[in-house]
Amino acid sequence: MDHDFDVCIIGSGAGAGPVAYTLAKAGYSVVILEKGKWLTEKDYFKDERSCCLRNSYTPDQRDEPHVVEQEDDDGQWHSQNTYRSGWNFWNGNVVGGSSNFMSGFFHRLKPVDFKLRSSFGVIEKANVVDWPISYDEMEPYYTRVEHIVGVSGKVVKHPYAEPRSTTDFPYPPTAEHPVAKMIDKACGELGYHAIPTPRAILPHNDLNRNGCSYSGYCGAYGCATGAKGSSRAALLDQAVATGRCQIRAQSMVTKINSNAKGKITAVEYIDHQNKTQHVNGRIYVLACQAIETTRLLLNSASAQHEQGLANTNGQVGKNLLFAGGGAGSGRLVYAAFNNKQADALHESGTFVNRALQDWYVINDPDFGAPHKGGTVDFVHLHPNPVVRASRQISGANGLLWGSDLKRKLESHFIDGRYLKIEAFCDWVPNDNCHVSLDKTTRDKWNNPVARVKVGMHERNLQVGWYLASKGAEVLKQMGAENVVSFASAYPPTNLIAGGCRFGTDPATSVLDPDCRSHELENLFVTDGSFMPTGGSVPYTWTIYANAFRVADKILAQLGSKNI
Amino acid sequence: MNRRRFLISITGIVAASPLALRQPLATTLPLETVVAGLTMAQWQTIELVQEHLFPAERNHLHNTPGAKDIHAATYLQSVLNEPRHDPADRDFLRKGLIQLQSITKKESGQTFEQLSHSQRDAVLRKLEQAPDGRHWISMLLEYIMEALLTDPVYGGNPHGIGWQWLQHQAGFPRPPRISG
Repeated sequence: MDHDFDVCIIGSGAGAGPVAYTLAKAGYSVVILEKGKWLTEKDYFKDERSCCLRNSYTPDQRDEPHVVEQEDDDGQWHSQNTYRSGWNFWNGNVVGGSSNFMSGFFHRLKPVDFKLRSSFGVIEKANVVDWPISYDEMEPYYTRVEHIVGVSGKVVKHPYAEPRSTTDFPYPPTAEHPVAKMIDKACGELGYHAIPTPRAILPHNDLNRNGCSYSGYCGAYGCATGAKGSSRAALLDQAVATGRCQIRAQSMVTKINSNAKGKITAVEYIDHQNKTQHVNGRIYVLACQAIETTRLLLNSASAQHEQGLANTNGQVGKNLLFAGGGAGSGRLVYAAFNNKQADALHESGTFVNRALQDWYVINDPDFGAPHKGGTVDFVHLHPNPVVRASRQISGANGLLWGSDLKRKLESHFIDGRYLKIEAFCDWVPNDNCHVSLDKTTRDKWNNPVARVKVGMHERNLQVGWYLASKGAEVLKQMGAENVVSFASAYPPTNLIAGGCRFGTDPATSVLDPDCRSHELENLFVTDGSFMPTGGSVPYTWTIYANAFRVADKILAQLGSKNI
Repeated sequence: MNRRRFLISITGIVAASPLALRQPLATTLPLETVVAGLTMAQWQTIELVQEHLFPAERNHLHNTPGAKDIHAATYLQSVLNEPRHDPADRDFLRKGLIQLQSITKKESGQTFEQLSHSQRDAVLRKLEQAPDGRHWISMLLEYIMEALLTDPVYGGNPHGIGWQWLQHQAGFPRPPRISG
């Protein structure tokens, strides 16, 4: 049977880029269907209003909402449409997906993350399992990402440093803000090991991309130079340059068609003119970010797959993961430092680039038995001035306005620099965190929307508090004022994984260890959905590495091709 | 097309065009003209409320921009005209104004425009305690913060006046001027 393309990829983010890059370079034809627009460096500006106040890169939630189900303090569950709710699970519907808007904090998982269950035993009311592969199988692909996507950093010794096959990163760290040295000093005094945070940002021109321009607006903003290693800038541009990869932007896939023999036969999508189209391939790769990947599988039910594709065991959408953890901040008031130090603190544009992993495993009798901990990243407060100013309007005794508001704004913006901590721990997989189809709410194409239940395991809070308080200790040691730290029960909606676990047992997992569907031999899932547990770092590097690993499996399945 | 509809469609275009955004509230329009769901008379009251919430300071201690300096009223009109803006906000804004005038009348028998500075403050504090009142004032304050600190291409923050006051370093590249 003839096919339109060798490989058909749905989605274009971090899970899609490595597959398109690898297959197109190996001589195969690839089509990518992306629901959003194809924006490039020239379309991205440091514009708080479009990036962060008006959600310009995500759908209008009147047309495409989700339904979120959450628990109140009394243990009652409530659901609501995300339109006008403050919730938004969309993360960048453009070519390259949400990797365009990441901060690019790139930490690898560590060997222990692949075997949480056997390392730490059972957690009650949780579904923790070991991964079906080990760190050793993933390591070469982490290294591949360092070179192809471009990861900058510096390897230093620390208690939980993961094994590496190369001695150091291919790119030196991006330029660092003077506050990094203050963090190093404070951590040294406390006996902690501050490590340079690896970043998916090029410090200088290479890989046919420009280096960072240090404009000071990075996370949440599209990159105007190409330095940020988004799927589009780092991978898709090169895939397209082979002449064998076609990107169809503004193409919303609504259904995957399958036959009785357990194969996908075509995908159905709505093009930019709102016309229904079909395309087929030998292999299909699903990479729409965890929530939408599950939704598409469930919306593709057929006579042979009544519960949705790959879902005979009912596992699609289960064990959704966010990132657990906490946060904190402190303010370095210029008046508390000498003139030279205060001038240095005023610098803008450069990165903090510091993290702590001293508690990646918590060995603290006060906490209890040894337990999986996580990572603390030090970051600048987001520069976004409107968001920051709007936080000043609430006073202790009501709203602030007039000269009271003006003095508070001056103090916030002018008197010091805020330093933030972000603590990442595992989001403990549990029965109350999953994706299903909502029974009543439909999107503008009349398809059921995803219903996201966001139940959190209390262990997240315990570990989150622990890590955030360690970060706060460093802020205090640095001389920061108004230091606060806390754990959060709310799922961060920009850090999503799970829902289509990979595993060896077809009864309890959706994907096999190669991220191929147990049920449909020509269907792969390469976004973060495959992860049974999430690790204690942002997901992007692992999604990239795994997608490169799966791309090699797809190459093997397609057979060698001489070009 | 009757004259009223004609005026509405004209002002719709005017409010969305970047040139017009650089002007203060167009007071030459008839008071009954509707712009972004509110009459020009109502917009004049909004402008007074905005200036009360965010007054210009010109004294020996402080020299800071106020709501008029940052084009807060025309900025808000343009926000309400954004295609993806929730149309319910127009009604919310209008109902809040009615509530403000009704509290004013009940307290003093006057209109908000006739009150002194301290009387206006008292009325706004009263409104803050009323159902939805706090939300209404918050909404006005939030859009004042936008007019103060978003990129000047959107019509507020003329020549970066808000950024200069708060010593804020804008990023680059800056967004291009909006067309239409």
